[in-house]
Amino acid sequence: MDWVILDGSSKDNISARRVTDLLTRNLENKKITYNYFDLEDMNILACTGCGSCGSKTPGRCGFEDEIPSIIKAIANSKGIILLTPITFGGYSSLLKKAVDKFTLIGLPLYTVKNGNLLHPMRYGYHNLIGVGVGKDTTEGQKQAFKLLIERNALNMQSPHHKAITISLNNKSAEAENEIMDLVKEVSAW
Amino acid sequence: MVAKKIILVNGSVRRNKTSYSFARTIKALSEKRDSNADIINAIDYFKGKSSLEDLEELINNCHIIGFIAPVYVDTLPYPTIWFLEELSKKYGEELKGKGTFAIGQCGFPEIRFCQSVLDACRSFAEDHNMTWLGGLGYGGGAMLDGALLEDLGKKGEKMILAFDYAIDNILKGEKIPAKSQELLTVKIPKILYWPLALYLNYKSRKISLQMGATNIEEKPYI
Repeated sequence: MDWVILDGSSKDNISARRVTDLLTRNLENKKITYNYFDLEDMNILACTGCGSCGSKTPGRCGFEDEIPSIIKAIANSKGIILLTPITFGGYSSLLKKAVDKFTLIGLPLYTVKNGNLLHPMRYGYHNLIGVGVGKDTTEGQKQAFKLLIERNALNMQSPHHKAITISLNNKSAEAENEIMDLVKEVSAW
Repeated sequence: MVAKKIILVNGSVRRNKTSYSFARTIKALSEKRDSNADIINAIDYFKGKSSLEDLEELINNCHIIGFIAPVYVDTLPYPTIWFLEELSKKYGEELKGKGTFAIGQCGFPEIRFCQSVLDACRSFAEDHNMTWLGGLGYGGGAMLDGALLEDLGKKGEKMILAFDYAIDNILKGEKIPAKSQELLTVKIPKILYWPLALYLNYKSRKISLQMGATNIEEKPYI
């Protein structure tokens, strides 16, 4: 599969789910393959910061949940698409429950790249896309969302990254255009 | 100065580590000024050990809410975001007009990696018409491993002074001064990053071996 989609919106968030549909439809039209994970339906336990995945059981969480299926998909993909309602300028808790476990794709080692102290990645380097959906999202919150994607991309040393924010007040055609432009751009990565 | 009531939210999933140590110092500094501070742990509400309903009186009576949290994958940990979402749903109206501030602490030495934690707390304040009193970042929080600041010698004294300046302004309803961030910032020359990385790698490999893992770079999902 080319991409892994982690959907951090809940099913009753109809507008956010409309963006999910737009995205998957456009990817399919471009014959781009993806693995879709509806995080609301998944049992992913909170990271307890125990450090076991770094030292005792390298790359594996000490608690049994459904995160291995996501990590397996990421390991075999070219990139990750994070879909979320913009929540306090960042990710919803639904999305963050999976993102906290990205420690499993990083090594507990350090390297220096372009003057940054970073963790090398366990499964190579993945592109990263953030699609934030929001209603009444302020400019500051949109910028915060973009910065968060940038920081994740920096720490994951993503070859390419992009963040877009879609306003739920947007007309359907505008949202569709934004998604189409995004898919067009990433199909070249 | 009028005595204030503060809620300090420990946003760490680990109850007694570095975020708690910071909260404990801020509580002591507030009480030195005749204000009252209660520390609550977001993880207790997430796990259902404490009930969100029980926060009503505390929230209604407080003037200021401070968030102290570690950086997990560049922003607040999942249970802390959940806690903010729940606070938002339950006490959105009651939060209006209260002061708020945040302290983020990350494992890497650079404080810029705390920015998204501060942004999340500032956005939370913005969503609820709270007064944003500013934020502080600390780089290298994991290395403190929950140590009490008074046990850290000169370094600890500097950190306490940083929080002292901050709380002085916060209690007056003023923004945290730049001096606090200056005192909290540990300046590690970039030239030292490589030796630091090599030292940390040696330590990581040693710990892993002691724990019985033979290959720290194992790829279990390929």
